[in-house]
Amino acid sequence: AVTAGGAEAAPRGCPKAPLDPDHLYNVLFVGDSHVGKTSFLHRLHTDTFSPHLTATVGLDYQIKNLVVDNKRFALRLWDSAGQERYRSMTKQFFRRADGVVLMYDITSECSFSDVRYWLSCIQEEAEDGVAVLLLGNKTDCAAQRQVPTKEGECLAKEHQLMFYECSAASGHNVFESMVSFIRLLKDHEDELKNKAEEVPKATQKKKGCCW
Amino acid sequence: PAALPPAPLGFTDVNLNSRNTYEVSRRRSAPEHLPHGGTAPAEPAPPPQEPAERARHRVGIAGAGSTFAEFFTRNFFTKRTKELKPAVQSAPGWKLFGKVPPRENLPKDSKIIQQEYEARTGRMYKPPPPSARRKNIEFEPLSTTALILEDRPANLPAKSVEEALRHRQEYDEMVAEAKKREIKEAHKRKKIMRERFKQEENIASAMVIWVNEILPNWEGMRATRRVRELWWQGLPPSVRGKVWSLAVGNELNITPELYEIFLSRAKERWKSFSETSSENDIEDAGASVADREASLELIKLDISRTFPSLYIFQKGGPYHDLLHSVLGAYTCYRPDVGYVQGMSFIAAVLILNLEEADAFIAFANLLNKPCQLAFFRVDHSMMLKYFAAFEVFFEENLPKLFLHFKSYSLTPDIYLIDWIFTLYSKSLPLDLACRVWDVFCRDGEEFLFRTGLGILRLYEDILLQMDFIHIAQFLTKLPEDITSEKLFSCIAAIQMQNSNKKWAQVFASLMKDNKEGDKNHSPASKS
Repeated sequence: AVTAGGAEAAPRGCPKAPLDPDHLYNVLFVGDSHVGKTSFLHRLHTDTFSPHLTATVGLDYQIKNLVVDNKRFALRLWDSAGQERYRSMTKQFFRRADGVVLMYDITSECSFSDVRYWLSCIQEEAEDGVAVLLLGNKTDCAAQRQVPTKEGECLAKEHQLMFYECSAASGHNVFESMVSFIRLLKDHEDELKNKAEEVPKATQKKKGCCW
Repeated sequence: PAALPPAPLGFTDVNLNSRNTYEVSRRRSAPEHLPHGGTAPAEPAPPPQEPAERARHRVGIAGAGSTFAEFFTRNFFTKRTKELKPAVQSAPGWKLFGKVPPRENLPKDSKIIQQEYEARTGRMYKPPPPSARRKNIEFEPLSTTALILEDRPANLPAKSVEEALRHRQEYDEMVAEAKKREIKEAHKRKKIMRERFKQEENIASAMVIWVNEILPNWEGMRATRRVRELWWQGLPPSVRGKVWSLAVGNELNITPELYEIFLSRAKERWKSFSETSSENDIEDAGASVADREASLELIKLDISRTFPSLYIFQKGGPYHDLLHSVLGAYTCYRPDVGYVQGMSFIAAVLILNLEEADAFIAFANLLNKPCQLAFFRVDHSMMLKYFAAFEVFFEENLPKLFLHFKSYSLTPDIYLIDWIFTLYSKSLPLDLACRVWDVFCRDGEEFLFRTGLGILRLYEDILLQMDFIHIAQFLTKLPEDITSEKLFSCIAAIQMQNSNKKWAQVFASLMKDNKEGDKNHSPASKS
């Protein structure tokens, strides 16, 4: 199901998962420079906000274990540099990604209009039907908001993306969005598995998935 | 009393600190006890020694009521202060441990405090409701020491003799242990100090040699064995910038005047950029990322994200404008390269060691080296050559780790991109990065890759235990306690020799392969 709006309350994922996850996903973070990709990952990792993170050069890597719906998930998170110049280097990671988190900054109209550009990159370079989460970051800076929530929702609907607004600074919707995204990735994986198993059979009715 | 007249100017000035906390709460609680309330702040300022006296006075009152420990328990360490009625909320904690109380010389003041105190200890004419519930409140000591040293609160049964003895013994052991630790730490500190002192002496004597002997005869001496060895030890910070400048050279023949020209050009562009962007913010929003990349906005965003822990490149910091200038001038000087993330770190390290124009000259010449040019222009085929050459020496020096990486198809681009783009200034502690730069200036690009192998060697045992993502995570966030001795001994152990071929030869033969149309076998080449 397309979870646009992010209003549904997702249970907070337990931060620690034992070894041997049940599922492992590669998730690539993209979006303009300075929208808060690294801060989001920092929040996810340490549950704190650091205003003094350095600019990402090339790629950064992080692993995050979460328990969702009693299953252990390991996320391999790839944090890419926002600058367009680096995109050619990120290419190979697009192909490896099970999911892409596309982030913009709600206080920057530019970063939002570049979402379409990033979507075209995903279309070009990632696997068809890769799961995409559109994230509008910096909800804590409400006074500087330039991108209304509605616009984010509309864009997400148009491209069939999962959508959340969040704040790496306050922690708002950081875990919630990742938990929902994990569920989406899981649905996606199940669907692919079913497809592979049931190629000769008639395709079963899938629990609402947008691909 | 609710609307107190504004305090006289002089009065507030002096009392700014103390008033904000204590006074406010007092005002809230005081009215009913304050017969002449409104006149209070209008009183003349009392003599300066009064606060301390009053503080002492209050402690005296507190002590008189009950045992000190009891006072503590009931009033300071209970978490339930919030449940107390607002009338009692002027926490006496401020009187005891807060900032020195304000200098108000109300004649009734001590009486009010007395009343408040009585209210808290439950001996007031109007007993506060929560007091009954607080009777069996649990004792919450601040630390183990407090638990043992303080007498038990009267409301708890006394300890048995054995228990008291055991606690005493445990406490003594803890103290002894802490003392032992302290002595050990003191020894360690002494040793570090001795080493630092020795190091400083070495630096001082090296500086004399650099200044008096080497720098005056630079061209004649730079390649001598003695100088090269001294160079490896690390350049004294006072000559570091100078040596870097000389070693990097100025092939591009940039003069300080030329720098000024490009700087003023950059300033013009900033001006016009900020004007247009404010005019048609929305129309401009449709511009592609690539278009705006050429603009200078990204530099602005990145400057404060360069060595953020140093606090000197952030907005308002002493080097913020300088870094902005150098990077801006460069994008005007080399529009074909432009600004690429990672450059700000290189410029910052240079700015920390050189004057503005010299920093720019070194920056432009450094980025003009083939390796840097290949990376900052993101010339894929060239970058792959560098990665392939690196892998040749990786396999030669660390075959086990090489196979381990191969088994996870962990290609060198995953960690080398960050290292090479920032010349290790982001991934290594700054002082250590400067030492890498020292030898990089001496040996050239080869040393960058040798350093990479040194890091892999240093952490080989740990890396062999890790899987793909953990290796990637580890190598992009190296441990902060990495020391120069350990790293440089590992770098020294790396042989840049492959079946009698040196780095340059290996690299050249890889380049030749390319011309002949051979595909190299680096996994990264698939992209």
